[in-house]
Amino acid sequence: MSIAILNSRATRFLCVVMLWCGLSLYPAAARAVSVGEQFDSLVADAKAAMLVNPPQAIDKAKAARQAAEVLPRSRRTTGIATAQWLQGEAYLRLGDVVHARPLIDQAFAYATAAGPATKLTGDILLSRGGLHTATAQVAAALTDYQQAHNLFRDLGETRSRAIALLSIALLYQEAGDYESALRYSDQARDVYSADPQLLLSIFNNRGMALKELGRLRQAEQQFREAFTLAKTMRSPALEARVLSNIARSELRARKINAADRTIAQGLTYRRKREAAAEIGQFWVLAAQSALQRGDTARAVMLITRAFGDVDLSQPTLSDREAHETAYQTFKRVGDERQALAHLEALKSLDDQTSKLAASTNTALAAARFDFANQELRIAKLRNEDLARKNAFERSRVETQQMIFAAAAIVTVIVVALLATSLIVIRRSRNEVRAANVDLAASNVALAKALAAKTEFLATTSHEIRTPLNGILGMTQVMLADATLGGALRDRIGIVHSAGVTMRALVDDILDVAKMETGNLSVEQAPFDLKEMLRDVCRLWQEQARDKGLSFALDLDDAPRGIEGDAARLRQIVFNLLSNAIKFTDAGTIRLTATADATAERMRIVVSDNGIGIPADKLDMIFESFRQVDAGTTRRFGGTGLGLSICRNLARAMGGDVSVESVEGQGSTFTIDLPLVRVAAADHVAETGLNGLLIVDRNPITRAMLRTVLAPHADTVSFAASAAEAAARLDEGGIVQVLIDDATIRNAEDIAAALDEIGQAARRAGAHTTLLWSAPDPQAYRRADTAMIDQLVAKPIAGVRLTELIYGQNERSLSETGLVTHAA
Amino acid sequence: MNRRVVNDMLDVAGATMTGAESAEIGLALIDENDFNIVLLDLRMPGMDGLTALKHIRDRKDAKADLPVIVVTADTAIDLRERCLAAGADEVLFKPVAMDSLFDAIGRMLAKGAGDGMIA
Repeated sequence: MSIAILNSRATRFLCVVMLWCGLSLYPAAARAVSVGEQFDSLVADAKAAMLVNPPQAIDKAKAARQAAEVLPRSRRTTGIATAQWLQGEAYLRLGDVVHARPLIDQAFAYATAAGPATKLTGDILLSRGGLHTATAQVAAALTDYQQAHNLFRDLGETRSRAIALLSIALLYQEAGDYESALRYSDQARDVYSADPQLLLSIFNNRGMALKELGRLRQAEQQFREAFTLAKTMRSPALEARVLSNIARSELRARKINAADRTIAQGLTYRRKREAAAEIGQFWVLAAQSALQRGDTARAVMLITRAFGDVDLSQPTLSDREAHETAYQTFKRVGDERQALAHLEALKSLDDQTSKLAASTNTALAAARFDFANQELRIAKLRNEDLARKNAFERSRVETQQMIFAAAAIVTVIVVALLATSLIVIRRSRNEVRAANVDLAASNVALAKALAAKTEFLATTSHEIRTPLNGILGMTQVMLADATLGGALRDRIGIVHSAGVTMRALVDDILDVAKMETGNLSVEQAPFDLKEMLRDVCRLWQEQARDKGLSFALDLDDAPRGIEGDAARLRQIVFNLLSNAIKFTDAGTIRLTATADATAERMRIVVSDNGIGIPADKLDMIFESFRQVDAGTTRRFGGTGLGLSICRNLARAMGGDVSVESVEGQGSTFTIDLPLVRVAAADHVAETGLNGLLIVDRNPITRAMLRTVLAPHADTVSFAASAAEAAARLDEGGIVQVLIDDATIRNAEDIAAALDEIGQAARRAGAHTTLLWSAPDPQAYRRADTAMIDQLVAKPIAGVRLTELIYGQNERSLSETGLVTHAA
Repeated sequence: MNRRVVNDMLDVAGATMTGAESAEIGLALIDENDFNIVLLDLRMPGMDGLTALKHIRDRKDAKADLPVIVVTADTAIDLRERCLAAGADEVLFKPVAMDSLFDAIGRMLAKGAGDGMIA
């Protein structure tokens, strides 16, 4: 098929070409001797193959992924990130978004885990931006490009920074915001213009934006500059493409003769193999020119030639210009059938485009309200401008000082010249000084603005948390009072849960602020996923029950020991469960976790039978401050920050949160994350092989005893009364029971209580220890303790208690543990 | 108000607390009494919490090793790390969950479990 390429698509291609040239600058050894060199050479091969042969690049990247496994520890994580990124980028070039996405996400997760952000992180962000652009996720693409840009700026990578700016310019170009597109292209040029390929891209983009703004003369000028550069680069494909742009702006300016000359020049490229794909558009342009001249017969001939044997029922976006020309041509000559066929193709294309442009526009409009406010950005730009000016002035001074020195040596007697030089130097120095003062002032303003923002957030959060501590503190104290009953308990419970919700809101707002300023960090540490999920669900199972909902928890296929950020993952699951219960009036809440071992991914799915989400609102719910409609806010409350945070967190972990929903029938939220398994305590049975039961009512003593004894037990459980202890013992898994007499002493019949625990312990085959207070020894010396294996008088050192329960062989271990702290 | 909250919470677990309106008063109280644990706010009139913590850690006697739990409404990103680096044993953020307060105190007591600590 030989058809014209839609302008913006063409420029994106240009941009990708540029990006690649940057990548090949990575240092890479060619000879494969050591493990590291073998990896480097595979990476170099993958990069070399990327532009000409992406499938080969995929193979090389896969091999590099294997090689990365045996890299030294210090390089492994970065190595894996590099290999996954290259593979993802190659798939992206083949237009295979499905394969590209998980690879690029993994690359990002690994690069993040490897330590502070590097150029690689920025490159991965650029690729991810490309991925988001390809799937029309404009807001996400913009965020990626901006992050990449900021990173490159901080790293001083001016060339990569310019590429990021160009990518942003292209996004705006697609959204039809040509002024912004132009502005970003200009910025790219200001940042870096030493590379002819990059500069070509910039000229071409500027031309494109100028043409759309109707500034045709300037547009043409930009294209001509681009053409000159393309020639020096000896790339027929690029030359042809830029020529087609020149012809377009000439046609638009009604300079038909000039346009015909350009088109004729373009058609000469059909003899060059590399430019074959570009020729079709010149036939279309020639048809347009013929149409402008009124030579309809020639236009029909040319447009027919351009289309060849294309299937009109399957139009692609790149054919739009051709279809439009064909439609106009056939309409003019009265060929209704052909005109209609092209009109239909056009309409279906325009439906696609306008949908795309609308969503792009909304996303960009929202992006303008992003956290870093406009003034800050202006100050930053001004700052950079001043820095540039400053450098310029300094170099001027240096040159002038050289002249001064030369003049002084050669003609010492020319006092007049000397004097003049002195004056000039002094003036230059003053200019530098003035520029420096400006720079300092601007810096101070910038620092002040940043500090003010941070201060504001910190203060607001602090001021809300302090009274909230009073509210929640007192409700907890009151609810802990067992004598508090009935209606009053309910009312205080309501105050308490309102307070908890408020705390969640303050946390949410702080999280969003952290995300917007890029301060949200994700940790990598091993944890037990099953245990964590069970724990979160415990909180919500009760709420579900209170609302009359059933709660199903399926962890049969869930991985246990994994590496990740337990607290953040918990926050996501917590949010999803909270939503599920909030928006469901009857039915079942279900949480399922599964691992996909081959793809190294895991999924946590939260589903409900709630009110569901209308199909057209599905994308919106992940934006900040959005609920389905204002009525929902009134009915269900909430800031609408939860899902936005969930998605941001999941993405920061190299995954995502997605949703499927049928209005009125329920919603299913899926957390998809990279899976990094670690050796887990899998050998511990669910109930525990060596369980310890502590019978103690006092929360502080509980924590203290647990800290002392937990290192010796697989599980530690608690009971607050004899009956509770007996029930727990009957569940099984308990080997040791420790009873604090303070808990038993309140029982009506101490002997009966001890007997109950003792009997249960005998049944379970557990050993019992009773801690008793020294002042009242006789009370326990009688028949009361018949069923108890061991009596230990308080006070006693933690070390000694451990010895008494777990035996002498533990001595050395427990002593080192405790004596260090007691010293 | 917040001293009262902590006081009432500790009451639930049968522990007693002596409140101090400022770091200066608190340091004087530590001089005169034998406490098991110090709960320390960061923002106080006069001397701030981290300075007070330094005063405790700089002592020449055994009280330099008193377990200190920082209780704060500040949420700066690296606050926990800064407090731990300054010698705090634990950092709790307001609003404080009663369970985590008890848990922290219990752990502190166990850490310093010399003779006769479990009573």
